[in-house]
Amino acid sequence: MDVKAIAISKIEGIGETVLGYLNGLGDFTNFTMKTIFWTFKPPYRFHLLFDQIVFMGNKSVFIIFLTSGFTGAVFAMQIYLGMKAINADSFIGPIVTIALSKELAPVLSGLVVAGRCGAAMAAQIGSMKVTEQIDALEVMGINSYQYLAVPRILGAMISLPLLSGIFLLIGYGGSWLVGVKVLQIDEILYTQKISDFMRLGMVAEGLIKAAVFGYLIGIIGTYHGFNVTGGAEGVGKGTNMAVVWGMITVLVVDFFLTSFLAKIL
Amino acid sequence: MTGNSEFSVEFRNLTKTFGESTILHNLNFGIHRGKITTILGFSGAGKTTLMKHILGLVMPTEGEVIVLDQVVNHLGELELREFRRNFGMVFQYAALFDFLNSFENIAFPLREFTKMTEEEIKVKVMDLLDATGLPKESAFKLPSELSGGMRKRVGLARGLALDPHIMLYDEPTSGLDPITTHTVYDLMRDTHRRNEHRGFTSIIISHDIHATLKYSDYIVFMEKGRVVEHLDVETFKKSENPVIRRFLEL
Repeated sequence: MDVKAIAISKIEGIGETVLGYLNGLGDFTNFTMKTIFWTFKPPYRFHLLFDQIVFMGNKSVFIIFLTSGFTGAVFAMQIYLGMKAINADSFIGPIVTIALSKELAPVLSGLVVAGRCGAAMAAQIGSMKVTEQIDALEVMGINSYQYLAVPRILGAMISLPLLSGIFLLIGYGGSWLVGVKVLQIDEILYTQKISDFMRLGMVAEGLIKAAVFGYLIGIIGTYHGFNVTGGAEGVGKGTNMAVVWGMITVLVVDFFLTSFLAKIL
Repeated sequence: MTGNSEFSVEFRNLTKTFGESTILHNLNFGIHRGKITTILGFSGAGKTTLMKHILGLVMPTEGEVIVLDQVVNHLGELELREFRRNFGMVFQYAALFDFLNSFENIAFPLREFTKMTEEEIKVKVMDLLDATGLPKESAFKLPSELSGGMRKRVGLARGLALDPHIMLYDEPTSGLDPITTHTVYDLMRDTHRRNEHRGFTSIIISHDIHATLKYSDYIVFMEKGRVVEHLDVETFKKSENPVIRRFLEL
């Protein structure tokens, strides 16, 4: 009898968890549909979009500079250590550049933006929610999704490909410094190999990924902001969820996006 | 749009349930046009839910909410947004946009909904600052730099910016000291008197019995989602209802 009761309680627990996740998924889908709907409805507040691009793009550039420069340099060093054993060290250039353009630039830029801007979106919107500022917008007849979520989502979609492009250039610079100046690989050979193997489609793949990651980070950050409950603790929790889910989503979606883009590009 | 009936707001058989709990039970009453009405009651009486029905932020489970001769629960999403411009609202903690200074907060609805030039907006905002007793130098301070009473004044000025037909106050004196509380109530009454010629209606959600008796024309007393009494102030003071007596004796 006891065993049966325990089994039923476990099954109920699993059921509740599954239902909780399904409810969350339903909420998220509903939120996504609303933001899509309000994206195309006037009025179009371009100044808010511009503010978000400045916040996410311009103010993330320094972090991207640091991250990309060292990523390119370290990656070149590691590839060199591996390739030297088979006398293929002249392939450092194309390997690093292809990896940067297809994977490292969009994914690492995405992780930086998820950490910095996803958190900021959730915190800003969340604190507006707990202090009734979102209610104030609604009472004035302003749709809060259109006013708060749409510019952030579009801002992330536009900023992330730009940041990813900067990541690629600076990362290439870091790898070039290590490869050519530190490891003394012939400069002409280094650049020649890159032009032999690089394709424009590879850069396009990275930029498309960055735009998709930007969209996802934007929608996850704003969703968690709008779903904040309670006071300061709720804002902290929402911010944490936005960062964690933003980063996980970038990494998981990257896998599926890579498979998909490999077929069409 | 503004209507001419006796009531600015009317509830007809309004019932609201959330899940299995009924928050509002078959309410039938009207809020008089051009008057100050306070919705009074203990916490959990359903006052805020009732106010959200007026704004169309919450829809009835049963019944109708009629505001300015429009059935709110028949309005679509876009019509509701237009409809809400008839209201000004002062929130419990002012709900000023913390990224904008006082001037920008008051100018916000003007920039969103009117075609006024920046010069016209400046004149209007300064008039509103003056009408709400705010010093000019407070115009460029952020909400975090203002006292609780000043934030309420900025909130009131923002609420009045579009010349609304109905002004809603949600616990407008929460967290204020007794002197500031009466200053804010004086301001609310003065604002009402200045606008009552155009049928301006003030609706206050409160549990501050003493201020309510002094400043309201009508009182709606709610308990557990039901209207216990809806009376003018003088009659309310004499009510023999035991729940109201208990509230009056607090």
